[in-house]
Amino acid sequence: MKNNITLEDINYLSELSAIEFNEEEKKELISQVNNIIAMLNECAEVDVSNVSNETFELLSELREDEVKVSLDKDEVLKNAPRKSEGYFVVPKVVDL
Amino acid sequence: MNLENKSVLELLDLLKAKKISAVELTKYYIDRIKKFNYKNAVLEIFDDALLQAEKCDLIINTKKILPKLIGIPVLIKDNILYKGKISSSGSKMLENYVAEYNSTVVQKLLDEGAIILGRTNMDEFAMGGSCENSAYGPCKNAYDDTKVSGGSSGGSAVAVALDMCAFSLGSDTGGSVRQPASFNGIVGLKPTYGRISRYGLCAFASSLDTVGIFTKDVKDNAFLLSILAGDDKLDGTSKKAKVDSYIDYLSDNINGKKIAIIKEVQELVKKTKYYNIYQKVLNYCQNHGAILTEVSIKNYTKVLPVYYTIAPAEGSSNMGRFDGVKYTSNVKDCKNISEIYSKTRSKFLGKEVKRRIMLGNFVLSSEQYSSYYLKAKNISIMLKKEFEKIFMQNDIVFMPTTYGEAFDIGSKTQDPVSMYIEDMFTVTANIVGIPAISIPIGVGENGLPLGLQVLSAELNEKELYCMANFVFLHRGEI
Repeated sequence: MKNNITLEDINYLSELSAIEFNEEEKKELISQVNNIIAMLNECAEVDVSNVSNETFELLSELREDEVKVSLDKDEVLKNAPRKSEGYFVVPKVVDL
Repeated sequence: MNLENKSVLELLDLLKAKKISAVELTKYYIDRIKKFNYKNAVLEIFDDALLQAEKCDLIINTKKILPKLIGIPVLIKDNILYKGKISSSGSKMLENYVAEYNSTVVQKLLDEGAIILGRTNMDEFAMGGSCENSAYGPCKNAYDDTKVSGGSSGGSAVAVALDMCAFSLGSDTGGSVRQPASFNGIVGLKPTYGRISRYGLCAFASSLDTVGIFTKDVKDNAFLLSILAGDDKLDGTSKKAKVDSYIDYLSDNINGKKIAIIKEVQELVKKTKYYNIYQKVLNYCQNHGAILTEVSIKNYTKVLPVYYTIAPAEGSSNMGRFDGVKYTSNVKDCKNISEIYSKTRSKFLGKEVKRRIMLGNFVLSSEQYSSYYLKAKNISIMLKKEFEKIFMQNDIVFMPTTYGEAFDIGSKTQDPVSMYIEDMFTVTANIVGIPAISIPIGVGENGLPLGLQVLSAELNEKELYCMANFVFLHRGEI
């Protein structure tokens, strides 16, 4: 359990989230996230020792992994901001 | 003919008897949408709505056996995919996103001859309970322009309340159908998790998301669930169980029905101005033969922290695909791919969505995972078992939908926790996976609608509709 979110935590989470915040937004976030976490911390007092092994029950049946026709490539690429010859275009990722 | 506030079933009779045409009906609703444009409930009227109506009229005039929803105009929430139409989930991130395929619910509507009129306003990515988080401006309450519509499916609720469509679809992850239904005086169902396929519903929290139905009465709702429910190969979490003809089970008799009320919920309600009217409903049912039992769920109030741990956790993960590369809006001239991600997300996501992504990543981060996410999952299993126990002895659970009437626009936006507390009675059904319906039962001190929530055991929508219909039909006498 954590009781106090700091600027350092906000910076770390902003990196994990791939979202940038300005200083003012960060200040507001620290206070709001701290209030929310204070509410989440109410769960601490609940004893869950009797259920701990059952948490990850299988939620769904998995289907067979079959090869089949899916969405049309050109159709899907219509929504892409940048594309070329059937591919998404992004800046160079690997340096040679 | 006066078409005002007609139910789906009434309209079907009129259409089939050729007393009205689908074109006439569609024009009527389009006029209503335009008339109430200032409420900001509808984001777009689809340009082929009248064309769809003409096709329906042709079918009505030439075919003997008609599809179940022939000629019925419906509005869908902006997060339900309809091939070839924009589906923006109330976000600038998907402002120009055109759906490449039909959601299962839309496919069912089309197969049954419904006319999809347009898409409705919502909190961005369904994160919110007031519709104020829409990137396209808040939707106003049907009865008071200074009050919120509720959310996240605010637009769909106001559209039904002001007769802009015969019925509408929304989605409910923590109350997003029931709470706006309550705030706008209509009927709103959140079915059992998996009862209606989620395929093509833009995911928020996948283990809690459901597609829900807004109607003017309970009978319509029961009729529509039979059409929309069912197993779906495209949704691995959809339930295989048989779909009933729910409408056949509606009756006016609740004699011997066992209703449970939760002590911990009662204690919360006692502090509100809602208590009297809520109590009157309980007494009325008791006087008509229902058996009331008080049960206790010691950890009831933990539903809020459990929900606000699980929903942002799953939400933060689902929001990961909005990256500025595949199908979203994007920021030009970025040096590298991580800059595309972060600049796009920072520019096109709204405040509440960003807050929940941060919160989700916090509870999922390796240092906090077991004390938050794992703990919340465990408590949700405990709660599920408590409810299973209650439904072994009882048919129904009653609780309010909200703490009271719709609140002022802007009154809770600065303080997220004050907004989250509003969800105290609705998140429970999502955490436990059971069905719940909100029905109007009267008005509060500001003259605005109040809703009652009826919950039943998993997949037992039959029982839920039966009780809800009784209270709905008798609400004038209560």
